[in-house]
Amino acid sequence: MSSNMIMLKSSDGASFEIEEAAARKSKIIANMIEVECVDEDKAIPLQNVTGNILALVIEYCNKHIVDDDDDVATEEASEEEEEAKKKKVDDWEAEFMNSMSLETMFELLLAANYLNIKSLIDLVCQTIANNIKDKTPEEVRKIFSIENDFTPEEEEEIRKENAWAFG
Amino acid sequence: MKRKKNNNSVGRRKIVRRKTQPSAPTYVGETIPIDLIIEILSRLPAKSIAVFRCVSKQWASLLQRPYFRELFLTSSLSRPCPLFTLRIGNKWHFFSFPQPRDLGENLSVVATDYQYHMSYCEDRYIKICQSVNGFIYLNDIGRGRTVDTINVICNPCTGQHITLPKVRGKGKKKYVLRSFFGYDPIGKQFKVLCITMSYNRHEKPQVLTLGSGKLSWRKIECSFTHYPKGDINGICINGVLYYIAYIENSYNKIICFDVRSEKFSFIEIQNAELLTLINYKGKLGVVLRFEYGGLAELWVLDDAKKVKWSNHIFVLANPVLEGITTSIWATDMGEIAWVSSRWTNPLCISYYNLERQSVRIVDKLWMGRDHQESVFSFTDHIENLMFL
Repeated sequence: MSSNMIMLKSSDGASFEIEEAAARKSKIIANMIEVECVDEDKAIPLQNVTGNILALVIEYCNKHIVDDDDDVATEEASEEEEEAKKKKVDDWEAEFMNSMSLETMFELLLAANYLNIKSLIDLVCQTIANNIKDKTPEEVRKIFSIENDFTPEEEEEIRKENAWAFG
Repeated sequence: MKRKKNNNSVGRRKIVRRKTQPSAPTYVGETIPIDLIIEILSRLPAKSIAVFRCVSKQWASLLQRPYFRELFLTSSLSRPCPLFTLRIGNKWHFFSFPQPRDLGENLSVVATDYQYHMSYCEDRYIKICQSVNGFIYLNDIGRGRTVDTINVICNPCTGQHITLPKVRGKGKKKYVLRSFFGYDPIGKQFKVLCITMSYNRHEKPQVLTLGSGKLSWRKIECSFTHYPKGDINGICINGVLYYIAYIENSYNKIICFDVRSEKFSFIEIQNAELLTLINYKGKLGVVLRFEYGGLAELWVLDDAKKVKWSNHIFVLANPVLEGITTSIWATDMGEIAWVSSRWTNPLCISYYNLERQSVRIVDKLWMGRDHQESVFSFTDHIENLMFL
């Protein structure tokens, strides 16, 4: 069984054991396994991911590898079961993202991007979008550390063009 | 080879650790690369996109790019929402609100959930509204009118609208006219199909293609004479425009117009009275009944080529059924939703679960103090930032 487990090491030196199947959710790690540059005894160093973020990534991968297996096993599942299962995953994802600060979400997004986990990128992007959708331009500038390079006149012009949205 | 790679990565890791640990933590928001910012922005509602144009010059230009609009449309396709059109005075208003997600219990949607998009000022009595790929087609029902009918296509997201040129008819005779809006997803073209008829002669259908250049109608061939049914909307699914029509002596035919090839065909349901068409999870759904006063059924076209239907009994009080044919739609969860009366405030939206045969959610939409004349709803309105 141990051959199915691999070790990941975060940038701050924390080690995590993870099932190979779960780790393969990351295209980068899957590629490493394909070209056999993973030594069974040594941890894969992930320079851009800190321990607390890596723990979240692993939690996500573990959860979703189970779901993928289920999909294969129950191809004949009824539509109702499919929907119930999808709802379960949706609920889990909502709970997973719920308690996270915006800053953690950004870190998780960067990690998902670095590790190339498409479904996690989608989930985090959508959650961030839901979080910022009602913010003012000023708040958004602060969140992304963007400098306002419009003159007051230029900004007024754009506000006028999009007046319906500011109502 | 294997060992060498491992050594390399271990070495690199050490360097990185030395580099990152002493440095002061920076705020993460500013380190997000632009391609990820685009991913985030493409998932926003159109209203937020409009507001965020004034964040910075870079964002303003980014949000205008065709690439971004394309990405936004793709993302928008996965989150359709009902859209209401209503008339207050001589202005038309469009409202959308998100599809309720928490199924299983009663809930109320509060007024702030829906968005005001634009109003289009027009005196004429516009009756038909059809939403296709984010664009809305409004046209006069044309009962006994001449071909001088107003046809407007608008995009609520950009506030832009265009008026189509008049359909030319021969002589001074009156024409009964119905027109429908369709989209060809392969050629990425919008087309308007117009059926014109004089009292004593069938005319060739006419088609107008949206796009650059002068908009003009051209005649096309149709091998059978048909008369579209009154005020029932057409519906466009996967490049095929469907509408109910009268052929020979009954209203039990559904015309299928292939928007790309511009070829007509029809599907017949024997002995049925077809009430209205809906988009049921990306398939054609027909609300019909076999006898007046009988139970309504929903037939879903599972296989368009082999004309294979699946049917669901749809138990609904008949007085309700009579009034909702222009305000009934299916949610992406497969529930049938409708507004039972356009005269009440708040508007009551009922959701019908086909499996349990029960109405399980009633949403309430407060429409403000103004009186509304008409309400329409669309099954699959999506947001599209593109210009006409």
